Amino acid sequence: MLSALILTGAAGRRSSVLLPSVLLRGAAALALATCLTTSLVGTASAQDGFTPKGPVTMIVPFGPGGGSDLMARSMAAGITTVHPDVQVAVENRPGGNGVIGYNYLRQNKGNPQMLLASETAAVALPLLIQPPPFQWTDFTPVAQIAADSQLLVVPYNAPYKGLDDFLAAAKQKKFRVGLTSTTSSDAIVANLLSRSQNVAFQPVVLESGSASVARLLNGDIEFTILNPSETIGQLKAKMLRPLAAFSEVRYPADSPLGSVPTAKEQGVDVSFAQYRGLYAAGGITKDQADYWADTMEAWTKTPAYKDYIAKNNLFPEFRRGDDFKAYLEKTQATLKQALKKD
Amino acid sequence: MDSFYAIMGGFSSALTFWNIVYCAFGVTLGTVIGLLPGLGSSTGVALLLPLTLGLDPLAAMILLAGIYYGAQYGGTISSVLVATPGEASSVPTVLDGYKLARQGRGGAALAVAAIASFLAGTISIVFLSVLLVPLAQIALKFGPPETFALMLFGIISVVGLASGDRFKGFAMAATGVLISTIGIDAMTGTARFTFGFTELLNGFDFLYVVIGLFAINEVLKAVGTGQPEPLRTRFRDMIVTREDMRRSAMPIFRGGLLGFFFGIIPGAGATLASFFSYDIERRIARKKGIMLGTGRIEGVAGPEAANNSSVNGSFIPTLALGIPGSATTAILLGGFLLFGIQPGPLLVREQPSLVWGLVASFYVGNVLLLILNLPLAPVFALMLRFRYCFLYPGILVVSILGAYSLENDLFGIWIVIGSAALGLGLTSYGYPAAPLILGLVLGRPLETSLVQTSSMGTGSLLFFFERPIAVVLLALSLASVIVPPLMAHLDRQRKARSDQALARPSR
Repeated sequence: MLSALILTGAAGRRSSVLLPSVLLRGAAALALATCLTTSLVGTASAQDGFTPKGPVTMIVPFGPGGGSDLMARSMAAGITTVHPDVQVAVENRPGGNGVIGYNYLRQNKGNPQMLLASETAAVALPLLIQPPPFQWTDFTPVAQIAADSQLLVVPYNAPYKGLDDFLAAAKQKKFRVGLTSTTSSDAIVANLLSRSQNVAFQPVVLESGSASVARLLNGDIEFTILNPSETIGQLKAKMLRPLAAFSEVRYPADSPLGSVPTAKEQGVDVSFAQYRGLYAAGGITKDQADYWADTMEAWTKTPAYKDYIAKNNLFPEFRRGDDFKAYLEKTQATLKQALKKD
Repeated sequence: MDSFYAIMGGFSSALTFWNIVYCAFGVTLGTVIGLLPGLGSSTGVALLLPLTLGLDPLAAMILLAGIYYGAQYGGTISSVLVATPGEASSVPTVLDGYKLARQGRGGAALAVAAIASFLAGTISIVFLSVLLVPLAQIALKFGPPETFALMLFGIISVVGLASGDRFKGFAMAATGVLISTIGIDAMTGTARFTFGFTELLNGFDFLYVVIGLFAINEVLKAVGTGQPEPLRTRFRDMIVTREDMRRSAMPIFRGGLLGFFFGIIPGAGATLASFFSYDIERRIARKKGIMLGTGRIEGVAGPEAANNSSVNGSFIPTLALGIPGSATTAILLGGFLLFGIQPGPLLVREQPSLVWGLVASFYVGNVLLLILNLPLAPVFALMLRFRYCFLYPGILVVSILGAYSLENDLFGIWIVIGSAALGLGLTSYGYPAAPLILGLVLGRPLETSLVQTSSMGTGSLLFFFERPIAVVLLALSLASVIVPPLMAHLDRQRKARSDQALARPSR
């Protein structure tokens, strides 16, 4: 009974309202019930030294319904698939472009049961905000689970059919590009494209992918750069057209984007992808970090993982431990270059 | 005819037993969420979204949408009874609704609000079901230049609303806009006016200011004037009269139409709609010699109709194009993704039973809200018969808890206390609070849309002149600044001349 109280307390803490917190408590009680039954039936996992006890939290530094939220919920479900007796509560802590969520993880230093669904913001934010609110080295990067690339998208009836026509036209007239901010990954791609091809674009910061789509449909901007999940609906409806993918290789042939050539294929050497992955709090032991990395690696072998990748048009890329850290260092260096003011 | 069959199909999916249950649960929960200060519909939907993942997508969406429009109504209850709007769009409701409650007519105000929401909801659902796809094109026409012009027009034409003093109204709206610049600037990512406080990176949530400026301020004022006895009203005064309904009919109709069309425009649709609706009713009433702001039912009916039907309007770009019409529908769109449903222009064709079932559930939800709230209105209003020594501490506790719950942070409470102190000072010198909220809510989108317009014109604001809708709205804004003082000046001259003419013969 005591453990039930502790669990409900922890699950109810973030919920800020009377009513939903009652609901959450109900959910926590249910989760506890499943915990008890499964741990009686299943075998306790025999990882060296570390098994999580009690509630595990996964922070989403952005609001519900976005790409990070989707990733967090898929990873949380994945953890439970691999270890049926581990239940993960997903907590949205949005604000300050992600700073609030990452700061919360930092405050939980040493807690092996505090996870975070991370993407490129973790390496970009410290470059953008002075003084840096945190460094990615404050945390334990556990594993990269996917790469999320981007598309150059134009109105369906635009005259150019490929990247070469597009760039030729962009040299005649300064094209306006819809961006979510001057520092987001779409801005980084636009910047890399502009530098490699020596064309200038006019950035229009529209604050969201859906606002860019709306402006593109109304002809107020010439092009935009979007994650596939932000625009696949309009692409399928033939309202917008993808001219190039900024991934290393093409999307798989059976995906709706399989026919989109990469920028590299079209002779433009620009590629960039956001990583998606799992962070844990800083200051945890190697055993603890390995436990989570093993769990993620086991999850990537399940059908649920493949479904997550296919549905969200991601690339299945897995890195763990030192590999992942080396990748983060490289990514941060690329970003530093791309964000440098001329 | 197609859309008729489509909406009938929608009713057949919405009217299953469990979907009605989820709808009822959603609107009830929404009402409670709206009622609590500090919790708006977008927070409510965001909190509940993860818990609906086990349901089928239509049931989950019905529940979440129910929370959305239920919260609009719940916000009315707290606006009328304790002067605490849960959303910026309920601020105009406070102006007359709270006065009505102080006069013992809170029950009538709530009943009229329920009826207004129901009728306006009905009007807008008819529009929504018939014109879903063509109206979505209007949403696309409203880009940054149009948004800027519309918001500017909104602020300028509406500032005079609470008091007659335009100068004081402008001063407060400008203060609101200034406060809205605190935090990370969306355009460049630079932190402005945060003085090193990480809590300020996110900016000032208007809800803190609303709680301080309205709820706590009203308590402080009442304590200051020392009303010793609670309201002694007869139950009969609590019930809506035929006269109330007669006076509310036209405001409901106007507010409903206005709200629907503002709702379609992505951005701060609901807020502008209810402020505009209040302003229109104020002007119309003044012609009849009635002063709004003194506790008139028209001032509740119009804005309530407007903010309710704007919810339905905001679903138009959301469902037809996959472009969210409001903060709350943006979260709902994310919800579609969590269910593996791709929102976008093909949604209506690929998932007709989901789209039309959801639209039909709005109708079911509105009927449920009416059934729920009409009998409850006088009961809620009876709360005001509590002795003040119980009521006021209760309001204070709930308000402060609400403020804490926004970010789970004490910092918010300091903002609330600061705004309450500021509010007490300002309102006692006749500076109206409502324009400050309007400025605070619209300040951000006003600034971003101006910057966006200039970048769309590659650095030149002359781009406005390429956009006819924006030009018309800007001309109207200019006119509403110049014309009233000009008219007053001409009036004075004419009067002076006729005075002279009268004076001359006697010389």
